[in-house]
Amino acid sequence: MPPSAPLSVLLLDTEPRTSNAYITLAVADALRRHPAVGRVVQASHADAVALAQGARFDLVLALGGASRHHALLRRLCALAGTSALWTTEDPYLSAANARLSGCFDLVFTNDRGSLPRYRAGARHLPLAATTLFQDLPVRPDDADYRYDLLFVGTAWPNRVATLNRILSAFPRDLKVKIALPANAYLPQPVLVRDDLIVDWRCGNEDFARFAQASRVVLTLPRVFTAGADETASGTTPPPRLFEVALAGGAQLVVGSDPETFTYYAPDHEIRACAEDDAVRTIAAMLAAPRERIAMAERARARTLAEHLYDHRVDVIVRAVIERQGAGDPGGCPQAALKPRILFVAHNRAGRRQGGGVEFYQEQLAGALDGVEPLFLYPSFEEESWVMRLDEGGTSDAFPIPPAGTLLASPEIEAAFERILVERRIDLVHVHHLLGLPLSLPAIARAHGVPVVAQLHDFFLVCHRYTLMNQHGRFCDVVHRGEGQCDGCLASTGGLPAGAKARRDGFVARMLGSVDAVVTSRPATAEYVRAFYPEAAARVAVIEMVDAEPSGLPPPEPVPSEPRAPIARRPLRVAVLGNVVDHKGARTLLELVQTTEGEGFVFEVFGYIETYLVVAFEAQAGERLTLRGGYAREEVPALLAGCDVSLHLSLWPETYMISLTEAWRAGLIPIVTALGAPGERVTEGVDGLKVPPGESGAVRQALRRLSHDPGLVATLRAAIAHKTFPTVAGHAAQMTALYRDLIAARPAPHAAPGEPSAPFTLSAVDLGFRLNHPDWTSPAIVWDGAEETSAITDALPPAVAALPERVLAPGEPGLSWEIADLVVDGQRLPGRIGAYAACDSVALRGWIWRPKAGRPARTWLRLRSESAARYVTALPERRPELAGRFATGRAEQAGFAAHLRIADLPGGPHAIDLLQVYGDHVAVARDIVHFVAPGLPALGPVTPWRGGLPVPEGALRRSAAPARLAGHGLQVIEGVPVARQGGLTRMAVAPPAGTRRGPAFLILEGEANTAWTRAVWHDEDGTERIGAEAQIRDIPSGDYRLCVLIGDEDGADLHETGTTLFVSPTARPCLVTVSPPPALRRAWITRVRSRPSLDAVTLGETSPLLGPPVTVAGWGFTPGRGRPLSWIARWGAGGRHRFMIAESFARQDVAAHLGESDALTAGFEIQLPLAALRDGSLRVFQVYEAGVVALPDFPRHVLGMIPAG
Amino acid sequence: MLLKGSSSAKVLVASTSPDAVNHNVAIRNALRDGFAEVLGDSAVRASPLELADEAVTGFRPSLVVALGSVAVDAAPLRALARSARRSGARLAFWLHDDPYEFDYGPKAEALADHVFTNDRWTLPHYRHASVSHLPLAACRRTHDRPVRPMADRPLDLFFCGAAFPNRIALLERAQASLSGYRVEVRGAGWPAALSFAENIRLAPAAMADRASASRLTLAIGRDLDIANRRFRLPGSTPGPRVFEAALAGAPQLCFAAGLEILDYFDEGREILLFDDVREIAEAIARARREPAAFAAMAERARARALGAHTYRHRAETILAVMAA
Repeated sequence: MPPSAPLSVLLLDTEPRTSNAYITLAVADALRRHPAVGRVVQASHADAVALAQGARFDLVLALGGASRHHALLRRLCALAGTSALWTTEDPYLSAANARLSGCFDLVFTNDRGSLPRYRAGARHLPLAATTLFQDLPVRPDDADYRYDLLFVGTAWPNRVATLNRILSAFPRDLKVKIALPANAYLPQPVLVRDDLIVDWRCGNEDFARFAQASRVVLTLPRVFTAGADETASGTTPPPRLFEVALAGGAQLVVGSDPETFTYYAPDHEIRACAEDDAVRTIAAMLAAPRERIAMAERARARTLAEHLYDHRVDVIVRAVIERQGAGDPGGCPQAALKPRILFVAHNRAGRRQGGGVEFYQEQLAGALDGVEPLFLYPSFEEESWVMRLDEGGTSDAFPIPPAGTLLASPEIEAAFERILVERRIDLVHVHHLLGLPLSLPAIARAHGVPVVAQLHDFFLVCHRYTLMNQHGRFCDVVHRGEGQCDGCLASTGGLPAGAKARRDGFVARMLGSVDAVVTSRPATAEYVRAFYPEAAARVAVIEMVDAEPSGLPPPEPVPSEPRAPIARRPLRVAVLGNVVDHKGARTLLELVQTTEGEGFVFEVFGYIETYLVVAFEAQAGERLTLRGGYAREEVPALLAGCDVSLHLSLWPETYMISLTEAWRAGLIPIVTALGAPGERVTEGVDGLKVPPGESGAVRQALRRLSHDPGLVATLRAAIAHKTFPTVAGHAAQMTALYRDLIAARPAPHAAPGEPSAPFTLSAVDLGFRLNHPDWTSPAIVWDGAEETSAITDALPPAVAALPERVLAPGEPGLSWEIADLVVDGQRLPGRIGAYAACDSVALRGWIWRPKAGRPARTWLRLRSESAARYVTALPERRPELAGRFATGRAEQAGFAAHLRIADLPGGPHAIDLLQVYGDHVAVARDIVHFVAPGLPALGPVTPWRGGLPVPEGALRRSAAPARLAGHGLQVIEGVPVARQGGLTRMAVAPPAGTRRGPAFLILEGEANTAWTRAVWHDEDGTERIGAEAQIRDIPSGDYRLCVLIGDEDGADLHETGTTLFVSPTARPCLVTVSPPPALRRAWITRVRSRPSLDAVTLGETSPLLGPPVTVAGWGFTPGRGRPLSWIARWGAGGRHRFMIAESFARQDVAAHLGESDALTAGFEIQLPLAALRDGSLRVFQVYEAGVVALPDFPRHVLGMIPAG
Repeated sequence: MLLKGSSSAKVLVASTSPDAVNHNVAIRNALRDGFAEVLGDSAVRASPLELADEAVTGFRPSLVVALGSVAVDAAPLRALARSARRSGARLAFWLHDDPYEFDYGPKAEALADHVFTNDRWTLPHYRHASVSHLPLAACRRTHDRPVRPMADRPLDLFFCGAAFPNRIALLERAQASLSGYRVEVRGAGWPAALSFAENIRLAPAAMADRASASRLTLAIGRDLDIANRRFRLPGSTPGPRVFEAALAGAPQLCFAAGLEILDYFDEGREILLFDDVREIAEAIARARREPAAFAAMAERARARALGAHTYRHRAETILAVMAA
């Protein structure tokens, strides 16, 4: 393979947040070693496109997938000599990857089974091992191994079950090392060996060392589906297979796909078996160390020869060279003929009252030739903020949170990314970021869109953008340091210490995303760069313009005769522009007060700020005329009779257009010696300078002009010859800058019709991790804290004071759903009644009201009998809703919350959803119900296990009763109910005087017994025995709760007198022989309407129900209040059995029927098939106002059961 | 090895967060002492971050070692870097909260001439051109204790540290098997359900005293992320307490969440590892049965710490790397 020149490669891990970053490091390492590769750059999302714009790479290799930040990947592809995608998450993400991989020249999938999903030409390329982290020799001596068995992997339930089977089969002295990291969406793993410590994690290098130190390294399959469109399991083994082999581990792969044996020969290089055979195979491997070690040696040799990343990378490099040879070097993006420039500012002329920036923006847009301007700005409309995008005659609004003090905002950043991509923006010109997150330039940079930042003031240095300190004086922060900032901001804004440092630190990093700084005067840019020496942006000095060319009459010709000497008449002094403190209003006032009788007349053109009106009006008269506001085109006429202009700003203005206007009118300006005016005026040549804030110096200057005609004449002559920039010239300079920047880094755009993926790029993805997105907040948000929402006792006062408007569930247009519900790590159906939660509840859902604006905040109210608590729900994008409700706005209807139960009082809770608007709080009631335990956890989570913990012979039944002191179970008809997979938190009071010993809780049923390890607990002298145990595979039925306490001779069993019911599924229900109170009546109304059935499925036979039928759907009879529960009755005569299950929320049904009471019309119940068939089954629905019988229900269900 | 006073280097050790929120002032002083052992007292200063500008101006160091966590966004790290640049000093960051605060690393990378990370597995994930691994260590002045006879030790098991969830879970599992032993757990955030735990923060020297008074000192790593969402990196290098307890003459029982610890101490000879909670009680029983063997193990671990894992050794490494 003789390449013509060494390849340059840009490598990007497509997932900015990943637990597998080491794979990218391994691939980079292999690329660097490849003889045909000369240069490897490992890029991040922040700089990948910019790097590819700066230097053409022969290969851009995207490692991971095609869907995350797809628009950015598409730009990268367009910039590459050859672009290649190598997936790492197929088959789980193969559908999305296949759909979006069209922009890549070469596609490699990590999973052979996923290959048919891709276009022709795609290839299979498994992941591999790396000598960087896993190159360890096989330990030749069996005595040198630390462990008999190693398993490290995510705690998927199927793996936990297999491990339990293995652990149960071996004696306890089997030296086992297991790591089972779980997450919020997986049940907490409970192993039969509860002495093992399994909640630990290790890096890949440590994993390799463990593998090398283990006699048998176990690989278990993962049974998991990410979405309906995804394949459940792949054919190609994960990289761990190769990694373990390289690390010298002897492997046993359980349930492997046959493809595994194309990499390693079964029995020769690895062992493989079915799950049922795992125990026997492990035993055999442990019994034959010499064979096992030899096998590991062969696997390692095979890996070194065939399965390193070096081998995989070689396949990619060869494909690239082959493609180069075929003469397809890829395109090179061309700059657009008519570039599209996005102006970003805090406002737009005509929206809110504005100032110079708004005027200038329009002026510039009108004068620019050959570019298409678009305008982006925040706008406060109908009590909420939007980000408005104007293009031509159209204007779109994107709802946004208030962003005045935000450094970053994922949702605004995502909307900005979308605008950049969909509007095909070629350059972003930032006039101001007030009201928008300061991160936006970084998003543009990540997309390779050049950014120009124009310095209209010092907003980048301080949000007090005129740099006036708390004393109303210029804060020369560059020269005096930041030491005074905390005091100033505390005094002026009540901000906490450190706020400015947080903002500065962010801006310093963000400025790396700015390509050019435009400034009217060099000093402004120098000041900003002195504050941020990190900033490397090019500085373009383009002098600001006034309104001259666009609508003003041509300037008066310079008079041939000099004006009459000023001394003969009063000196007319013009003050141009709004009168406000930082413009020197107080200096002016002093001046007026101290120059009486001196022959000066002051004319103020501009508005006087409200708080100064009284003071100025008190002085108004012959010597002071307040002319009020004016239009720009009126300026020459207004100034016609004036001699002198005052420009007394106390802050270093960045240009001062009024100075140009005064000069243009032939006036002699007196300016403060500060900032751009101080730089533009040459003392005694074209104006006079005074120190800021010194009215005495201004008075002296006026006196000089009044008494020195020679000076006046000299100044006027010089001013008459001054030239000023024109708008056309200014626009031409700006256009040239745009074209330069765009030509240097053209941002490639997508072709029409190319598939797209959600826009989600955020500052966090670009490496901007922040303590808090708001720079004025002193909070440091930790990883964990963000995931769990803090529970508070009350809403903020401003919210609590708003009136509540309860949303009727049947309100037209209203739609909500709990889409995902995870309780104590167990995922439950979103449509479920009340359930018990011991540790945590995570819920995600959405609420959509088409006519409502975007709420300022969303809260959950947790109502219990004793109190209401509150928790913030975080906004969550739900792209699927855009299609469902035919508007993009619906994407923002999602919310998510994760709450810790420990913060709540015990007992039943109802969750209401509260949306906060400017004038009211909209409340959707009863979206979820749960039960909190009301007692703390007593020990770690343990499993309930079948049988007894001691031999029957050692068990003594004691007459002394124990007592159930507390539990966290849901109660149905007075009976505590435990669901399959749920946690049972219980505390038992032992009989008085019981001696401490090993303690267990026991469940005694008719045919089954279960036990769990319990712990003693002493609180304020009261002894308790408690456990937090998980129900798994315990047969459904009634169980008596007992406590077993051991001593040297045996163990005493104490009954508690409490019976609990273990329900057959994860859905809590009760099966009882006692007729529920609702049915204890002589006459029950029969209703002929049939419930609507969504699903009827047959289940596995159980002792409780025999073959069961699960029926889900909804039913509602109006006029009886809300449905509460469903009851099924079967059996004959006095041997009836009753199944009681709670109703649950179906807002869609309430909306469909237009009936608020129908909110709880949902049900899912299990029924015995035999009773359905023998006709003994009766079904009842309990409402607030009584119970109804549904005689047609059984027949209806039977009709939907497949024959046989 | 450098001879004291033979180098022209002048080192300022500065913290990376203001002392008001800095729990690791002791490490700053320990590192200052470590440099002083190498360079002599007059060539070394230590400073809180908030006084670092004045310290740089007054002391004119050739090397500034910024030590600590860079998690606090309000910390004026840019001002420290400006001072160092102005005085011509090289600036090294020694980040001691990796990987738990790795996401904040770019702030240090943007300012540093060189980055030292306390965690080896975190090392390859940095993008800075000049990065190396440097575990924390023990301080001779604070932690060094002669190995006390096992018979004189009033405690069976000692652990000192913050109650991270993984530690609580482990001790909860172990609790039942530890009844009957004299167990002492100290730190912050321990739940009341662990009867042997008390929420008392021990000063570094007091920690060494208690470790030296126990037959066995437990080492359980940390698994609590502050800002580690980007790569969710697990830690691999043992924390400073392992080196500190070794120097205090404590026989140690360390949970094996990784095997990198064996690069610093030999299993069996210098430390013990454990994987399940049964082994804790078994190790205590063994310590009671075989006091001489455990005392010898403590002696070897202490010698190893004295020979390779004090802040003097780390200072030497820093000087060598920065001179390269």
